[in-house]
Amino acid sequence: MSPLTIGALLCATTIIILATGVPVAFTLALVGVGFLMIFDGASSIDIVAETFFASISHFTLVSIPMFILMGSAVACSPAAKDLYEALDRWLYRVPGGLIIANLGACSVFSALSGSSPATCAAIGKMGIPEMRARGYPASLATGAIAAGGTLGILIPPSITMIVYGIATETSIGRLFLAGVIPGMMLTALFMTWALYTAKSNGYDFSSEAGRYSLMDKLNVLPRVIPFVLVIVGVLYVLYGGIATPSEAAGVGAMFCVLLSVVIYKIRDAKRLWGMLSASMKESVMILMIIAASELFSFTLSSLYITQSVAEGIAGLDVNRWVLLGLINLFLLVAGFFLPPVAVILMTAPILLPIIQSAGFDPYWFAVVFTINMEIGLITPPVGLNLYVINGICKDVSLPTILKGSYPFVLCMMLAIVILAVFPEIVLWLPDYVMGPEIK
Amino acid sequence: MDFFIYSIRMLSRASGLVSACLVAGSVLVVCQMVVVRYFLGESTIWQTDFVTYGLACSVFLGAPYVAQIKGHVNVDLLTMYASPRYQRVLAYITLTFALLFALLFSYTGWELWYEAWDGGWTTESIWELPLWIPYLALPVGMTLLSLEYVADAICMITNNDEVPFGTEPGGHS
Repeated sequence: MSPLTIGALLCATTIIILATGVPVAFTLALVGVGFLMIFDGASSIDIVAETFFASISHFTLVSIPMFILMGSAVACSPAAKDLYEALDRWLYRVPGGLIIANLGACSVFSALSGSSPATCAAIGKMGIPEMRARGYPASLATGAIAAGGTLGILIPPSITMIVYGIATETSIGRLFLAGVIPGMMLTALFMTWALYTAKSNGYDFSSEAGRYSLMDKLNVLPRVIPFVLVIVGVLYVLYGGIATPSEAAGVGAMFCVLLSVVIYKIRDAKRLWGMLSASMKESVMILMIIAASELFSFTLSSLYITQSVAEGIAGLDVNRWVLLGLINLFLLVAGFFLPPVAVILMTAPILLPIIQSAGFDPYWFAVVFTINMEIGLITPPVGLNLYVINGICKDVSLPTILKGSYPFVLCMMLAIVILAVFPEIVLWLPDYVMGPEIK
Repeated sequence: MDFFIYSIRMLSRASGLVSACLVAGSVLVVCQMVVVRYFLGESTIWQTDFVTYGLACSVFLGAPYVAQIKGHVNVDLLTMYASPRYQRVLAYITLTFALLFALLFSYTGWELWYEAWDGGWTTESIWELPLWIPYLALPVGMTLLSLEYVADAICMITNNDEVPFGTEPGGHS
């Protein structure tokens, strides 16, 4: 059987097993081991356990549980409330300031917590009722929060980017920087759309009540600034060449836990345990997928599937933009069904050689990849953010939320087009800070 | 039988507790390592190994507990729209695959552990940690995971409303 036929068979088997509801990690490991034993001899079972263990005993991977704990500490504390209040107080004079404050709070909080559903829940619980009370339509209020929650997987520190870096052996520091400007651009696009639609619906900005004195504005800052400083600090030590991502993440996690103990007075054992066990659960889930996908991609390359697919596509000689379009479409569909981490681990090792041979930059592709994954978070059938928002505002129907988030999906697609035309938006900052990439 | 299921659930929880402690311990060790290396300017010996292997162990030891709280992310599209009867069929299929996975890695895991023990394998660092210690986490975790799924199967056969891998929002995204 040719490698391409085996590849097609493997792809079909994976999809069928996944569809029955078997966890992603188990599916990848079983398919990987199964195909290896069938096509490479039963003796290949001997290396399975060692490969599985070795794939997650890397120092770089230590950054994942550390960043998750950091996010968990922030998510367990009432930091979201303070962040939201701070932005609202400072922006109340700006026309449409409330929705800008909401989207801004989403982008900062999702970067801090690293979790899109947690952001939707935390900011949405305060932001959506407030926006609706001040007359914003329900669809816009819920859609904006759903979309805002997705920003965290692009803005550093992002677990999705770390996983991409591990899957493709690219620099995590450079990936983080690559996400900064596109993340801000996307936030700005979201805000522009929100303002435009609020204005075109005849919403009167001047009716936004609430007056805050300078003292009100200053009072809220001491509780917000430390968390933002931790993020800035983590990024600073990373780029100063002072520490590795894992070390920076470890120290960042420690600081965030300490801050939530000192500032938010989370001192009872139950809540601290909740913080720790939530992050343990999440990192176990992600690292199991990473370990399993290592077996999966080991099989792909042992059976020459990766190489054959890459060669086959290179041999097709299609226009690079058509190729990019097709890859985007593929990622979009995969993102509809699977969590970002799983999509990256399963497809990045195959896609990256194709992308590079077509002359695209791997860091630029990381950003495009991530925006595709963001879209998957707010589109059915899996779109987790939609369900989270549906859960916190029970009186808003799912179709209304969907209607509100749909324009934001278009904003993300527009962002991909903008980045395709101006790749410098992604590459300028990493090149400026870390020097041009050595190829 | 109830006692058997109860014991398995408690064992998985204990294993999860160890896993969480390893995560917490690793954070402390990373901080200690940063202080020693960057502020005191000394070299570190055991910290990198401890953190790397500690977290690998935490994954395998945490897996049974995460399975118990249905935390291993899956595609629940079919299960969401299927009728209760087909949901049950799907549940049996998923459980079979999950058990197969757990048994595969229990078996190969114990083999690997024995090889490391018998051959006196150590890590490549100066610390020379005997590898059977971290390797033990794989078979122990996977054996517990198998038991966890056996318990699930028993619950499913005796009780009609148990569905594994139910939808649970809050997975990482």
